[in-house]
Amino acid sequence: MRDALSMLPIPGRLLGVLLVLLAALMAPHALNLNPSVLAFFYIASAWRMLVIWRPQWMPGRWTLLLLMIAALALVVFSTGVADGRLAGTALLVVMLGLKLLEIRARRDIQVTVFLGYFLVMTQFLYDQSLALAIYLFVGVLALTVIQVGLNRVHADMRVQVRKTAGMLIAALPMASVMFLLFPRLDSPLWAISSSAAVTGIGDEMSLGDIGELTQSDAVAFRVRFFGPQPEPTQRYWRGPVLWRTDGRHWSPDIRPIRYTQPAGRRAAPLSYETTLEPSGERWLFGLDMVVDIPPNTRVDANGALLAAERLNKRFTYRAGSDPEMHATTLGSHEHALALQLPERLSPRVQRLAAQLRGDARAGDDAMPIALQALKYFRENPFVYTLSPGTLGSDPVDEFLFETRRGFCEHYAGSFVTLMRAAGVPARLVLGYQGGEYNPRAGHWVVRQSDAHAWSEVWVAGQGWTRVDPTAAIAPERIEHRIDTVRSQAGAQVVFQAAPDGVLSDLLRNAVWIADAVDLGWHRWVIGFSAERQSSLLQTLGLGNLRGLGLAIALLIGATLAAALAYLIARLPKPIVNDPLPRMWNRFIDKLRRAGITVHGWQGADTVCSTAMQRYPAASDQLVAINRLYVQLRYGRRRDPRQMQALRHRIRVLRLRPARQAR
Amino acid sequence: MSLSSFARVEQSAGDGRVEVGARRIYILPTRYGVIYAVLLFLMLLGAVNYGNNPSHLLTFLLGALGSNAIYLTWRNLRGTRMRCLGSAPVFAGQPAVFVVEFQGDERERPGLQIGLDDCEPVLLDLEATQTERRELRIDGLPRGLHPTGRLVLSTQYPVGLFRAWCYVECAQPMLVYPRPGERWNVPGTEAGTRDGEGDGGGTEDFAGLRRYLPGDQPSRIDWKSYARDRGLNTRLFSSHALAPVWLDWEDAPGAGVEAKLSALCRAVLDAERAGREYGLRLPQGLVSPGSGPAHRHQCLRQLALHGSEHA
Repeated sequence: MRDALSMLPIPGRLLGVLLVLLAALMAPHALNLNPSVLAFFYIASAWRMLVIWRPQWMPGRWTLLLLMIAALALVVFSTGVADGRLAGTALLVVMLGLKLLEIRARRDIQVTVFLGYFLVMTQFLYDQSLALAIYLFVGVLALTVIQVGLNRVHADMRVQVRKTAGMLIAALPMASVMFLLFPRLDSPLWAISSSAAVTGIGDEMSLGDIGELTQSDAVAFRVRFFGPQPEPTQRYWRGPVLWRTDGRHWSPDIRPIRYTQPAGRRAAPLSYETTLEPSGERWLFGLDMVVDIPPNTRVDANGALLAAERLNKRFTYRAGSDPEMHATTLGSHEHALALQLPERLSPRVQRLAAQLRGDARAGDDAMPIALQALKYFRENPFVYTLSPGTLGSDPVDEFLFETRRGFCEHYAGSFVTLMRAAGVPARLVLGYQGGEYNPRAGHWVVRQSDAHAWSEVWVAGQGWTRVDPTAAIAPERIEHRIDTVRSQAGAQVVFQAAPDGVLSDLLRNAVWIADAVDLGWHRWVIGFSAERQSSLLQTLGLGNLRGLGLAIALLIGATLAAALAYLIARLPKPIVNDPLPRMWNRFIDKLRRAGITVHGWQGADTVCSTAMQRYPAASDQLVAINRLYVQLRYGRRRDPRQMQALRHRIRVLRLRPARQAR
Repeated sequence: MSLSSFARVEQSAGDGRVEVGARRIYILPTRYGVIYAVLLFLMLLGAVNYGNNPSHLLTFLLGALGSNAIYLTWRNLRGTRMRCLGSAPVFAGQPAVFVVEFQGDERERPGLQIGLDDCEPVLLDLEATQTERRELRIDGLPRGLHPTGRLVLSTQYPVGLFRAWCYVECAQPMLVYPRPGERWNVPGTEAGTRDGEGDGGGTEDFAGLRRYLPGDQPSRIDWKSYARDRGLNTRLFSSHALAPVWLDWEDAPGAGVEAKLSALCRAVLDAERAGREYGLRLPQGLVSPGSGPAHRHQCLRQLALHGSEHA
């Protein structure tokens, strides 16, 4: 038997909605694709829209062929084929445009909807933010509504929205199980084009650099420890040290890198092997401070580990670190550098520095002054956020006194400046902090999102001492995601949270909820990695599952989830849009118009007997209505014919005043 | 014996009622279902290659939707209640119209397709608690009593990725009368056979109205009652004055069985229209004289079944 549905004409409205929807789903690609590719799509889309009213403008076979050649040429010349992701997306976009010009039957719409799903997926290759995901989810819902509409005779889309949403929600449990259990790979199936810039920590820092870096979930390196694992407070992976600043930019010592021997006095308590992803830089990241260095690497005067040449492929090295060690060299040159201030330092900053020094009442002793500065951060409404907005000409002043919103580099940068203004030698350290333990593989994964900036102050008699001002921010002020690993890692200097009173702030709670959602999206969707998957399996007691076992668990789990969804769906639900109460209300309205007082609390029997006393002539009809209503309302099954009978009886009921002699 | 004779078939009850049972439903992916699966596979490849988790999630969401569609499509058919109302008898050459009535229950069932095995199916969106009728036209049936054949009730709702279908066999056969032939002179219809005197008021007396039947003479239609919105009616005239006409197989012109049957069919129609009482004399037996729609049907039925074991 043939399929009669696909031969029905296309409802014009449905096609119009689909075209608008695809245009909306395409819009975020404006940031990613060559404008000419996008223009091709939108022109094709507008053309097809016109054809709805002017069918004679439908392009013919030859026109389409020419357009297809033009589209391929457009992709090759505008985008090229070097970057597989971009070329693939551009190809999909022009093909979707061509497909629109080919829509003649319902069948074509179905295929177009499928391409729409694919389009949604390509958006995720460029941006994975929660906001975009919500936007696209609504788009997927709308696409599915159209798809469902195609399989009805009368494609009434409004009716379908609720049903389709229900279908998608019912699909969520199964999708989640598959998402959590589907094996994740550490490396791509085929090489991803290298034109995608390698991100990583460089040897300069401008405000905003690290914030950008932390958006990336790319792995920076993996570390396997031999023997003891580092404490949370010890997980600072040290990179370049920055000295010179103009308030906004930080750069290293101007002199060529000077190498020293690591200043280890005893055997390294922590020994580990690190596999670094290609970074294009020479920096190797060792746990603070490195004492045993691998062959072919060197340590600079700041205690940072460097490879012999830039790292363009994975690099594995063994090193040893001593967390108790402090760098103890401070030559006169470094001393001068460690006190260098931006040329313009506002009086407010200077006053604050002097005040911190005064409050510390410790003379030149660095630590009490540092603690005073951290107290300042803690007690004023500083917010940790990855979207701090831009700062003007004097970023330190503006950040410390006005915006008070920023992330690690803002805090570390202004802290170092403040320390220097208070006469304490200080410097800025770039690196990574935290990391995630993979219990199955037994190694730590450090990602670009773990990039961090902290500071070191010179403490007489102790040497360079790490102070992490970001950790001083009151936890409830952390507006943007910050890995729990990092927040529990704290820092060498750990402070208590701010007083409880502020927590009651409603607005802050809203921020917290938004943050929790965002964090959840980040932790459970974007950042869900092979490591996190194996630790989840470990928690579920499925840690030993691999390959086939995992596949079977996936199947069982997905089936159970689907079954669960439909068990829930089968539960008796409140009958929405039930015609019975509406009929009853129509009946009550009729009675009221006939002058009978009906109260909301009265039952059907009472109402009918009241009406019968008033209109004995209509007794038979009233009794019949009552009987039908009670049967339908309280009976086990609803007979549609009874429903119709009741509807009919209520419609024809006439209440004429009885001529009673009284 | 074809494979389809092993199919599970839903048999209608005596009154034509059918409720589609859960275990009588077949389901297979459609062409779109296959395309969809290929598309999801490509999406998964992309998601895995780029280690892109939102893409994983989207792919799995669509995958779960597709897999749930098996259940949803099946459920759209399961428990559908319908009734085969059968078809009114037709003359050979006319299309038979087979009527099926759907009785909505508490669930709406959109996108149903019903048709005979090899015919263009008829579509409907069955609303909850509504009753809908659909007519299936069957062309080119020869004279005789025909089993309805196997109806196929199918749906692709909601997502078109799967097609669920079931076979329904209706008990009501379709009766096809012979094709009416050329008009001929039946012995015994001449004026001379009139019994008794004419009463001056015309040869026939008005005897009442009955509902119009296809084949009635337009001149006999009672246009007054039609104008009063009572539908098409045919005026009947009493023919008590006339002796019954015997329509005899031997008298019927034409060579061959079908030609004779056509001629007799025409004669039955003419006699009925003329308001005469008529009887049928066939090789297999007699139909005693009478008139009226039931009698006409009885005669035409005998003609239709001539030569078959139903006769």
